Amino acid sequence: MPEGTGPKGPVPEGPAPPAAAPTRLTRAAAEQARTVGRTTVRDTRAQDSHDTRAASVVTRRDLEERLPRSAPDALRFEPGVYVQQTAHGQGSPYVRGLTGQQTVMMFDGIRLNNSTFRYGPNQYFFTIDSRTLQRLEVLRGAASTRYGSDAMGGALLATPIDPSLELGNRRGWYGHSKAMLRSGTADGEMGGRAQLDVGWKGKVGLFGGVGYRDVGLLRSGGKVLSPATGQPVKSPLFAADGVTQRGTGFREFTADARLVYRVNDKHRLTLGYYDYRQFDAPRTDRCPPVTAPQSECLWYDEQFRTLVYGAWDVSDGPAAAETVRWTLSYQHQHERRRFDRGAESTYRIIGRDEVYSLGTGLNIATKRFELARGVDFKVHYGLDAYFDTLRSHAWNTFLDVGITTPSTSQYASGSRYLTSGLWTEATLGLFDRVELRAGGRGSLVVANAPGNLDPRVGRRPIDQTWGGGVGGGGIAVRLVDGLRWITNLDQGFRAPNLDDLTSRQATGAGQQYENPNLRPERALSLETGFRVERPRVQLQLFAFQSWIDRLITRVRFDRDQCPPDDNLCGAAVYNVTLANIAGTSHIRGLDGAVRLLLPKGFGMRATAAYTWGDGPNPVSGLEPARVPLSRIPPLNGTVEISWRHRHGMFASSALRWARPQTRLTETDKNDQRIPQGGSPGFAVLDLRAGYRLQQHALVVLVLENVTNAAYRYHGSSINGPGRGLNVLVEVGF
Amino acid sequence: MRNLALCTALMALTACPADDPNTTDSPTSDPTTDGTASTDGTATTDGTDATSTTDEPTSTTDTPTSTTDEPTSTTDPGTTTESACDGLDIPAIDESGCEPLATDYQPRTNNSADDEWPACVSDTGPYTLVDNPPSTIARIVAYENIADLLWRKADPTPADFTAARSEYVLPEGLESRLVRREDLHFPPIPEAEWDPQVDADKQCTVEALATKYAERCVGPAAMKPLVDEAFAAGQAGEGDAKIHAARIHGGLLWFLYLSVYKEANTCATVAPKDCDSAWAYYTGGEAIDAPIGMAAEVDAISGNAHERIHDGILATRCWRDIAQDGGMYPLLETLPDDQQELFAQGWEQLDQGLHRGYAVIVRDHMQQYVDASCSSADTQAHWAFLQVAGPVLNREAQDRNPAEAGKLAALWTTDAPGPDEVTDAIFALDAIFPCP
Repeated sequence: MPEGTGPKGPVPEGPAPPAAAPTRLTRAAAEQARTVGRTTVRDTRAQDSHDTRAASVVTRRDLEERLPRSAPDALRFEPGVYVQQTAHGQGSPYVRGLTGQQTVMMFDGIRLNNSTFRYGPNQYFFTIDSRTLQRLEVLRGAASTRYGSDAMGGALLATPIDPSLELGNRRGWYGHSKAMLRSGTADGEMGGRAQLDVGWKGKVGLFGGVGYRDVGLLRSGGKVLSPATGQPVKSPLFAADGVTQRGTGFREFTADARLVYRVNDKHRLTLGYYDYRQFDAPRTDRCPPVTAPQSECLWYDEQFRTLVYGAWDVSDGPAAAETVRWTLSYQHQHERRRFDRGAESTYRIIGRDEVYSLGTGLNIATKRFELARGVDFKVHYGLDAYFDTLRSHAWNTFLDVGITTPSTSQYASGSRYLTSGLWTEATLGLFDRVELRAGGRGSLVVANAPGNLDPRVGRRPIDQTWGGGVGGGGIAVRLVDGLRWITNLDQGFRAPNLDDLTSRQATGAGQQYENPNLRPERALSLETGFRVERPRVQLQLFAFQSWIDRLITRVRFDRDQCPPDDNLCGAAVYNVTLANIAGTSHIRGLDGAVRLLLPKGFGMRATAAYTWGDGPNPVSGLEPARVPLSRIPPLNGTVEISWRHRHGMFASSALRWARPQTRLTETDKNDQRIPQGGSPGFAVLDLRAGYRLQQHALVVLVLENVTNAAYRYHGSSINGPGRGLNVLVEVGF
Repeated sequence: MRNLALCTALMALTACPADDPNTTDSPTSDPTTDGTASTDGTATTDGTDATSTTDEPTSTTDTPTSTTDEPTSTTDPGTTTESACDGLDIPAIDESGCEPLATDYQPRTNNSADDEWPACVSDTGPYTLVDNPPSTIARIVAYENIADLLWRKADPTPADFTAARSEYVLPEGLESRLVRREDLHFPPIPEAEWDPQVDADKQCTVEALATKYAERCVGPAAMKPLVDEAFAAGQAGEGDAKIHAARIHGGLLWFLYLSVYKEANTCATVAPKDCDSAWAYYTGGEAIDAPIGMAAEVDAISGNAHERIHDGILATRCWRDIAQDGGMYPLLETLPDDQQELFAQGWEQLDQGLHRGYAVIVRDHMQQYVDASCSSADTQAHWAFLQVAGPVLNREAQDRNPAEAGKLAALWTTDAPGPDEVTDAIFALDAIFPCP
C-alpha cells in the first residue's frame, strides 16, 4: 500500500478525511490542482489500497458529481463491475462475473456478508448509504486470504467519511454542517440529508447525519424488446404510458454517527453507528409476476441494517505490530416481506427474518524490515470471526377474517453460523523494482441449524464444520518508472451459508429448496496485466482466469424429491436447489481502465470489461457437456470526458455501453427478467455539470440518458432510467 | 321404505352417505402447515404479533356478506311429507347405449387399432408425460387435503377452514391458478383489447378485462369471490359449516373441470407440457384405476364417464405426439389443416367426456338431495353445492337442448326445491347429457 495515499487510519479499509471539508492542499497537490484544475480534493488520484492487484476506487468527489442512486449504482463506472438490479430499491454488483454471496462486502473493515446472503444477486450492498462514504474500492479477483469466505469474485470495500479531526484549530470546538437536497425526475426522487462534522481540539470528532428519501415509480426510456421475438419483455409491467415501470419505488431512512477519539498520536478509538431502513420496496419481477393478477406483488416492507462497532487503531507501535486495528462489531439485519394483491387482497403472506451478527477483526502490520540494502520485508496478519444467529418466521394472514396462521419460514429459525480465520500476508520489496507478495489463511466455518422432520416441512438438521486453507501471492515488477507488470495468483473460497443450507424461497429460476449437503466452493484466480501511473496517464489492463471447483449453482430437482407432504414444493412450476457442480468452471476475461489528465482541466476516463464463463452441465450426462454460467455480464464499458475549472465549475459527459449478452444458461432462459434470446446491447449518455464553492456550496445537475434509450443491464428486472434530470444541492455552514 | 329402496338402488353407484367411509372418516390434519411453529412455538407468537401490526384487518366488519346467500329456507326435513316423495323414481345411470363416435380416439379398444387415429404414444394405455411431472399434481393433492378437512368431514371446524385455506393459498397452489382461470367455452377477449404486456392466455389477469368479460374470466370474476367468501364464513364460524364446505367443493370442482379443458387447449397453443397438466388436473397424476381429485369423484359414479374423459385426455396427448417434429412440438397455428382438425376432434372428445363426467357429479348430488329430502336428513349442504356447481352446465345445456336446459336453469334459482322438482331436473340433465 502506498503510504500517504490511503486512508488516515492505519489499515487499508480505514477511513479517509472528507473531501468536501475545508482543505489545505499540500504543495504537490496545490501544484497539481493548478495544472489539472482540481481544486477541492486532496487525494488527486484515486489510489486503491491494493495497488498490486486489479483494483479501482470511487472517490467522494465521484459520488458527488455522478449522483449515483445507491452504493451499487456508484460502481457502474468501475472496470469489471456490472450492476444488476432485481428492483429499483436493490442492486447487486457483479465483479468479474460473480455477485452476491460470491463477493465480499466490507464496511470500514467490518464484514457485511452474513449467513443469509443468497445465491445470485442480492440487495444488501444497497443498504450502504452512499452519502456516508468517503470511498468505494473494488478489488477484482479472488481475495480470501485477506477477506475470508465469499471473496471469490472480488471484494467491495466501503470506507466511511471520518470526522475532520485535523482540520480545526487546536484550542477548542469547531464544526461544519451541511444540508443536502436531492431530486430526480425519472423516479420522482425527493430526499435529503443533514450532516454535522464537529470536533474538539483535534482530539475528538463526531461526524453524523440523518437522511431520508422518497423514490417513486421509475420511468424508463421504453420497453426493451426480446431479440428472439421482437416483442417487449414481459417483466416488468408498465403503466399505461408505456414507460413507467410498476413495481418500483421505495422509501429510505438513514442515520449514522461516527465518533473518533484520538487518545494520542498512537492510539485512536472509533465508535460507529450506521443505520439503514428501507420501506415498501417491491421486488419488480414479482410485482406482478408475468402470469399473475396485476395487483399481485411481493414487497420488501422493511429492509433494515444496523451496524454498530468500535475500532481501536494503533500506529507507530513496536516492530511486530507497527499498526494495529481491532474491531468489534454488532450488526442486525432485518427483512420483512409481504405478498398480497393490493387493496382487494383477501390474504397476505408475510415472512420476517432477523440476523444478528457479532464480529471481531484484528488487523496488524509489522514495520517494514530492511533485510538488506534494497530489500525490505513487511507482514500483515490478523484474525477475524463473525457469528450469526438467525430468527425466521412466516405466516399467513387472512384479511377478511383477521386470522393469522403460521407457515413454513424461509430459514430454519434458531440457526447459527460462524465464519472465522487466521491470516497472514507478507510483502518483499526488492530494489524498489520488484514486490513479491505471499500469504495464506486458515479458516473455520461452522453451520448449525435445527431440523424439522414434520413431513410437511421436511427440513433436516445441519451440523457442519468446514476447515481449510487458502493462499495467494503475486509479483509486481516496475519495468520503467510508472509502468508495472503485475501477476497475481490468489485463491478464494466460499463455505455454504445458511441461505444455501436451509432456505426456501421463490427465486427467478423457481422455488428454491435447501441443500444441507453442500460443500465449500473454491476459486483460483490468475491475473496478469499492467499498471501505468504517470502524471497524466493512469492505466490498468488485466487478463484474468478463474478456475472454480465445486461451483455452487442452482439446479432443478424433480418433485419426487420434495418433502413428502410439502405441497408448496410440489406446486412450484420449477423446483431448484443449490448444488456443487462436479468439475471445474471457468471465468475468464479482460478488464481495464485508462484515465488521462489533460491540460486546461480536461480529463478522460474509459473502462471496458469482457467476461466469459462456462461450467459443466449441471445435469450430468446431458449435452452440451459444458454450458454458460448464469448471468455473466456482456462486454461492457464506460467513457467519461470531464472538465473542471479552478473556480469550482465542472462538467462532464459519460457514456455507458454494453454489447448484447446471448450466452444464456437454462435457468437464464427460464428467467422472466432476461429477454428471450438474451439482453440487447445499449449505449446511454449522461451529461453532468456543477459548481463547487469549496465547503460552502455544491450544485450538481445530471441529465441522464440523454437519448432516452430503453435499456436493461443483463439480468435486471428493471429497465434503466429514461431521460431525466437529477439535481443535488448542498449548502455548508 | 322408499328411501331405503332408493338408497339401495343407488348403492352401487353413489353409496349412501352413512355408508360412505369418506363421509364418516374425519382426517384430523393439523391446521398448521408450519412445522417450525410446532417445534418452537415462536412462529405462532410471531403470527400473533403480526395481527397486531399492519397485517391486522382494519375492520372485522369485512366478514363476507355472502354467507347470507346460503339457503335459508330449505326444506325442513321434518315437514317433508311421505307424499312428496311418492312416485319418485330416479333411474340408475345407464350408459350402456352410449357409443363412441367414429372419430373418437379409443385406446381401450384394441389399443386404438380400430379407430381413425394414427398410431401414437397413448395407444398402449397409460398416460405418457410430455415433460417432468407437472406441478398440477400438488394442487390436486391440496384439493384432496381440503376435501378431507371440509366436505368429507362431518363437522368441519373454523380451524379446519383455516387449515384448508392455507392449503388453498399456497404459493403456486390452487388459488394462484383459480384467480386467472378462463372458461374457454366462452368467446375469447377480443385481441384488440388485449394488454400487450400480458400473454394471450393470461389476459384475465388484467382486472379490467376480467370484469368486462366475466364469463370468459370466470376464475377472477366468479370463482374467486365465491370460494373466498365461503372460506371466510367457515373460518369465522358463521352459519352452517357444511354449507360453506359444499360451496368450496363446488367452486373447486368447477375450477378443475374447466382446467382440464383449458390445459388441453394450451397444450396445443402455448406449451406442450400443458397436456400433462390437463391429465393431472383430472387424475391428480395417478393411474386411471386409482385416481384422486375430480377423476375419483367421476369414477365413483360412472366408471364409463371416467374412462371416456381419460380417453379424451389421451386423445390430446396422442395428437401432441403425432404433431411433433423430431421431438419438437410445433404450436397449433403453425400446423397444417389436417393436424388442426385432428386436435379439434380430440379436444371435442374430451369436452364431451368432461360434460358428462361433470354432469354425473351434479346428478349424484341431486340424487343425494332427493334422498336427504325424503329421509328427513339435512339438504342444505347438498343444495349449496348444487347452486354453485349446477349453473356451470347452463351454457352447454342451452346449446344442446334449450327446453330441458330451461328446467335446469330454473331449478338452480330456487331456494329450496322439492324432491320432485329435483327429480324432474335429473331427468332433464340425463336428457341433455346422456353420454360421455
